[in-house]
Amino acid sequence: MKQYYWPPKLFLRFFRWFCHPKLRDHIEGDLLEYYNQQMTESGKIRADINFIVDILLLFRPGIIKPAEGYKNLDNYGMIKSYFKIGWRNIARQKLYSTINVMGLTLGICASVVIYTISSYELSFDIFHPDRERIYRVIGDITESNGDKLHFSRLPIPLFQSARTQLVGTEAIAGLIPYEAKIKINEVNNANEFESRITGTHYVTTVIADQQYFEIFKYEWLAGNATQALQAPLSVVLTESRASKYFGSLPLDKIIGKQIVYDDSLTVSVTGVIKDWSGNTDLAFTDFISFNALQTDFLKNRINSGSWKQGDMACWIFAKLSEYGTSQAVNALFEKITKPHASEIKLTAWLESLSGMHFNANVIENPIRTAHLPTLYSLMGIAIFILLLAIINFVNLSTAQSIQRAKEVGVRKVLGSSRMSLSFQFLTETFLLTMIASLLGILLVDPVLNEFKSFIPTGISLHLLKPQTIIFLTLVVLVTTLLSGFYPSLVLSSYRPALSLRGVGAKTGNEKWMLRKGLIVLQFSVSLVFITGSIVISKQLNYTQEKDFGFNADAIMIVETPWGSQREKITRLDERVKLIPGVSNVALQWVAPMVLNGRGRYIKFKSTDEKAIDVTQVAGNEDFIPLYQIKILAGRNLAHADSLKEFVINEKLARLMGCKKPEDALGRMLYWDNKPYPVVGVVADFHSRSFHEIISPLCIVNRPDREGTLAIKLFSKSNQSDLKTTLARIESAWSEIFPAATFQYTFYDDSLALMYESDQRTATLVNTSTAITIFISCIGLFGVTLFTSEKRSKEISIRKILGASIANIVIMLSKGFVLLVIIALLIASPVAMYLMNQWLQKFAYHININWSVFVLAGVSSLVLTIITVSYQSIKAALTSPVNNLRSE
Amino acid sequence: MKKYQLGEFEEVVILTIGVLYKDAYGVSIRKEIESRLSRNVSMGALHTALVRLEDKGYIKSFDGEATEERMGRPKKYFQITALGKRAMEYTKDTRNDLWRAIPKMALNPKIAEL
Repeated sequence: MKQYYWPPKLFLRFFRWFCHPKLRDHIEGDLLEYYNQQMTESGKIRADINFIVDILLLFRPGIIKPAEGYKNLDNYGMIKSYFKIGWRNIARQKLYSTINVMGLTLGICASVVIYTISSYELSFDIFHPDRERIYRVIGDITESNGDKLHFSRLPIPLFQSARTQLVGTEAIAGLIPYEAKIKINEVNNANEFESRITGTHYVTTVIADQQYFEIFKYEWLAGNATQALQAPLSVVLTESRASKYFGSLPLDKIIGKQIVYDDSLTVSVTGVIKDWSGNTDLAFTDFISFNALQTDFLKNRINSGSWKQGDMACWIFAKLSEYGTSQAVNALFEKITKPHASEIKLTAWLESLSGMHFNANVIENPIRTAHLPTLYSLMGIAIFILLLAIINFVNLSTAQSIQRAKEVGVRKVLGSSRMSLSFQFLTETFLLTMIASLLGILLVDPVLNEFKSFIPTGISLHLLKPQTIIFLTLVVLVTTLLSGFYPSLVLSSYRPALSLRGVGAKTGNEKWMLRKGLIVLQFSVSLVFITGSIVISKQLNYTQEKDFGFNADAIMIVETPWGSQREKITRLDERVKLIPGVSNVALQWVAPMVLNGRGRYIKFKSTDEKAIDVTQVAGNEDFIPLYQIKILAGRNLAHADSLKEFVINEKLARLMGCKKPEDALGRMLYWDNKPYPVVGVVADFHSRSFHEIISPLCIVNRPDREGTLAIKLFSKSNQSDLKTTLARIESAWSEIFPAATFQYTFYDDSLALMYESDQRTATLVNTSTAITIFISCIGLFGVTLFTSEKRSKEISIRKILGASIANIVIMLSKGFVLLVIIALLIASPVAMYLMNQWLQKFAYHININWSVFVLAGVSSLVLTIITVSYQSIKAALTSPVNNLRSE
Repeated sequence: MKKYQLGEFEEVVILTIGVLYKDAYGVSIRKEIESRLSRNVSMGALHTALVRLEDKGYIKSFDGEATEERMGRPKKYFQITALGKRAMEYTKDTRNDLWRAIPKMALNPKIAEL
């Protein structure tokens, strides 16, 4: 038997790997045959070389297998066809597709916007190394009425004793925000710089302790990280700040340059650090050394040895050691503060760095905080809106599915499995979702722009960030799966024998139940929002229209410069009184109703020793008449040069045990251990926002404090009159206070500001309402469109048999009206509960009564009827001939 | 556009297939060309030409027997199709036309130099 030889295996394997499978076998055969012939003719070496050359020459485009597959063993072509068919379907059903895309676009846009906001707010100060060990010290001071006030700015000695006495910490740093005018000590540089983040009141200049740089790590571009602030009167700048001050001067030349704060404090630069790139609340740019506090200039401004509440100035940061716990340190604080209990009753504790951005309760907080519950409710709203859009999708696709029953039948007969059918319909959903996502992403920036007042500046969508990409992919996938899963299940379940015979899919009750259920769910959500916006707008109207107990119309508030002489103020008062257009002028400390009126403590005689927390309002004899506060008993304050008598409100009178206002007259009130008689009782008026109940209050005349003018004009509606009056007041002002600029506010405007956050809630809820209503309505529109199409023959026959247009419209609409009524029944208790929760924040609020729900119900019914009737009227008006002709 | 696309080497291959008639497969075609035209033919060039000819529809293939010599791999025989025949004739005719169009003098160097 003849012996056959194998050519070099490696090359044969290589050939088998690259060769197109269709050609592989016979070319291989040729190669082997030829090789064996060569072997016998010219020997092994010759044959091998020829074989290898042949293989290498075979490595060319015609022979190599194509990269994208050759036999359609994968589903590449099928998936391509899914997309093609999907796109054709979308294009064919233009109206349905538009409805679906609109809904999904809104939903996705809302969720991306809210994601952008939340991820921004959650990104603050998360880049610091060891951040879980970094804490801010908060001090609590308990007021006599039990309110605990949180302060972040604390006595400077607390920081100094903490440095020595706190065990378990690695570093403790004090930080004193310092607002100053900044100048550069250069001959040719007359520029002045701000020490705030532009447009805000957040200070960027701080007097800082060296250990601050042990807690928060910076990259040092110049100077010594451990000693830069030890040098007397030194300052460390961030890179961006340094370039603002010195332009493009090289870093080593900046060291040693001098900067002047407030024309008095001269410090020299000892270090330049790189700015942090992440979002931070601690965006300080100038770090002045702590030893600057010893200069006479700062000694006068900052009392660094005092424990008093008025001198609290210092922010304290602590970094725990590896084994330290915040509880242990909190306990140590007590030892430090106890010896000073006579000066200040302070409980200090550590607040984690991660909580800092969300703690809105800190008084005089030097950083911008975000409201965590608002963020959460925003996220909730986003999810609801997206859910509504998804429901729409499910509704419309299942409704439409019957039209595709034949397609499913044919596909199944041709051998399509349920899996691949589901996959096909999911691909269609995916296509729609992709279109919607692209549109939604395009909408994000305009939306962010629209809600500028709502959101902190600097927020924008960064599409290329990995987190954003992950989030978007997730949104697309979840939306596709949620909205596509059920319809694809329904569609793929059709039996070919039935659907091809024309019987269509089961029109059993269950599917209609589901669709109706979804509509009810949608409308319940929208109704909750509708009710919410009605209640909120009613409450806000109430706060604006309710009688405050005083009259705030056409009152102008003008503050005289701090520390002006009494004589000048009264002179201005008298001058302004003479100006035509001005009806009255009062001198006051603060207006009757302000945001942060803190209580003063008063003792009164009859039930001795009992202290009452009383809001004190100070004004001269013109105060009560100007604000038209009603006097119930006694008289107005008399003209006086010092504090002589009290006018109190009804509430205080009652607290003093007086049954009638008159009984309070003549009683003695003790304040700072001095007795004063009560000369009048006024009707209760609101001294704080409606969030709080009316507190006991007294009106006193304290000329030393009355530096503000309240100017009552006859009217502020006539613009030209207002202008001349204003010009006259200003000229009077500049005569008396030539150095100061004239500034004024209208009192009713500043009152409206008290409800700013409520206004924002209102805007938010109104927007959400609009979106949810819109989505629900387009969903309803789609379903109506479908039903009237489905029932077109029935409608035509009814018309022939004598049904009127009204009959048919009612027939088509009443089902939906019923659904909305059910939704109303479901939504009302939910809305009632939620809105009561919200109203609890107001001490004075409207009561939710049936009228709110009637209004919400009627408005949504009207919307439903408008949405439904467009289609049903159209259906009722079509000539029966058109629909029946095809039979 | 040209009516029939047939490259030089493709023409050689298809002609050889015709020569071999019922015995035209890779190795035999290669040997035939090598012996008749005394030029080296690589497997790569040959099979690319075969694939292209088949794609153009000038030849068709059918699987043949698997011999021991080929370690059990099947042979693939090629045959000229009607379209292939037309393409060959067309090429041949155009060549003939060109031949005929050449003036006699042009090919006679002695005359051409005059």
